[in-house]
Amino acid sequence: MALDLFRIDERLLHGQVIVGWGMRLGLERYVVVDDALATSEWEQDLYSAGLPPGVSADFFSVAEALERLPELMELPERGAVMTRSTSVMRSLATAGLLDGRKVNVGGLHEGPDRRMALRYVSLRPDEADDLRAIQAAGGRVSARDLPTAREVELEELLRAAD
Amino acid sequence: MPLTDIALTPALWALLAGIGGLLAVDGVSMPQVMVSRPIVSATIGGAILGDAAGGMLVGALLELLTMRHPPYGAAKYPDTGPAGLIAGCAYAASGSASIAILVSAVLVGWVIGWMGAYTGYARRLVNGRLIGRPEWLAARPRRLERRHRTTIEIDVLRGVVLTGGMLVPAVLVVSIVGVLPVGPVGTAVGSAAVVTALAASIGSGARTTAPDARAWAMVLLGALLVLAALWGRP
Amino acid sequence: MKPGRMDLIRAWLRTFSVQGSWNYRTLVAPGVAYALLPLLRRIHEGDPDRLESSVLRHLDSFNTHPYLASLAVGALARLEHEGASEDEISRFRMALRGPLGTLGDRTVWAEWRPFCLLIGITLFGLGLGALWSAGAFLVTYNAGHLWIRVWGFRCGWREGRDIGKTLREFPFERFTDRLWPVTMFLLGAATVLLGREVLTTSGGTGSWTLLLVAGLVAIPAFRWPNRFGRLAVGLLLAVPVIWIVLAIAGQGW
Repeated sequence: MALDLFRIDERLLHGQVIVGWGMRLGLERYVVVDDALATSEWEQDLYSAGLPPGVSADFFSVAEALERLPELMELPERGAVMTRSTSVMRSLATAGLLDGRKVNVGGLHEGPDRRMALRYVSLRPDEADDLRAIQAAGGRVSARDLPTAREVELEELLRAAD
Repeated sequence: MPLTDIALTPALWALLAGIGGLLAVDGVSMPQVMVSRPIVSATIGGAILGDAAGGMLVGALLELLTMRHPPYGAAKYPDTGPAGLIAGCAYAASGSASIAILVSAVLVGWVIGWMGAYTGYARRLVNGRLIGRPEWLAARPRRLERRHRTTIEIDVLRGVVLTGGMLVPAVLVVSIVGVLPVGPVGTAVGSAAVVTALAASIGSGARTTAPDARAWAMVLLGALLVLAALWGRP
Repeated sequence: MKPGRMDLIRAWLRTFSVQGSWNYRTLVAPGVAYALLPLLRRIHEGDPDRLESSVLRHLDSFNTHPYLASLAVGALARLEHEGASEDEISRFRMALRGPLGTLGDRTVWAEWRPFCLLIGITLFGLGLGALWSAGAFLVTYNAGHLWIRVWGFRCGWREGRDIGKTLREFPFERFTDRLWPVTMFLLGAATVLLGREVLTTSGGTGSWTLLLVAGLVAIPAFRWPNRFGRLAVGLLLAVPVIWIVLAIAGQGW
């Protein structure tokens, strides 16, 4: 699978992703990595319900993802990998899966202990550490909610969250 | 020389402002049955002043111009309820059909549509204040009900004020443009511009509606078929 | 207590106003909470504390297309009625907001509404009276609109957390997905018919050739929608200016 998008977004599969990114990049398959969702059928059904015809979603636990992503990357489909936390993306990075890949921070909204860096990104200190670790493992981290928006590099993002 | 054939009595003005309020609230707040679309609102405006067909023509042109602004979530998009109503009124009030009146009525509708968009945006900011303390609202759910209804009343008021305030200026502007001595060259330039603008706006509207470029073939097919059917007729 | 028929009807009617209190922080949440209230009051009857905490969680940020809000209200009421945990309801709300937004935007705003509008405009262009054409638009459009509201509310209330399966087969989507070729056809037809009305209004000046030339403008407009959308407005704005200049020149042009 030609993985065109690695995205961290609390809302996972929602309009911005499916219409904004998916239709633009022509994505045919989404891989959602999340331990809780991997075992919850009703939630999987809900998250998949907004997908356009012909587009599918898989829900993997972190362990499954580490095992299956390398083989999925061989498929010709265009796809995206989605996580709702920085820590899960970090696990993929430390396993070496994100080397040389672009990692997109798309939506982490205000919450306790989070500091706002951008309108759509607020970070806790541990989340900032996760992003640094992803970068250190070869991922190229930047924030951007929509493909038409300005891309904000990790350094600038962390500075804004300080 | 009177600019319009229609006497705008206070009662008529109040009636139109009231209708403007109802059309405005349909756009975003309630009940969203789309009487706020220009083909309806401008037709209503035209019909009240005696020219439903003229109102519809203005409304249809406004419709194609605003097609590329779908009402997705937080986006700003023209508020076409009061705008269409006023544009339809202004066209009908001028009492004669000419390209000058048509163009100016459409433009007036477009401008008021965006005024509606920005007043609507301001209203949503006010909503944030009215509804911004969840704990306080949840402690007495009646508060939530009252506040929610207040937000809708404010929206009605917004429409009434917008319509009441803009109606007379709009009618005047359209009527003044209507009495400009536009000769044959001016008329030709005007019709060419309107028709070209129409074409430019459908192209852009189509993109927001249809999935891919195959859509374009269908647009062309529709246009050519109608052209062929009408060819040579007046 | 289980909500009765009247409670359900009241909640359904309230869904027509969900966007009234729309705000930039919690989006449509207060409107959905408002619509849910008649049901929550019944479900948590005699327990004001549970009612309060329940209202509070529904005031937390939520998003949905306004018509599909009826589905959200039905399903959320079902979960509350079944006594689902706080955590489960919050996960459910989180998962629901995505599809309800995208499905509604895609099927209603991008497909159904333009289709119905173009039906109205085309009928008018073909010579049907203005009021009849506008009426035809309203009747057609709202048949679909009301169907979604009724269908959504019933399915939501019936299926609760399992609504995802039904939503994946959203019947309205299968219908609107086939509409786009017709919509595009009508777009072309309606534009030519309108162009003809415009030329008639201007006293017959211009010609069918003009329409063909204008058609050429629409081709690049398809590629650069925003630029050409602005161009359309710019052209119209320029026209009165040209007229004023011509009027001042006073040559009777």
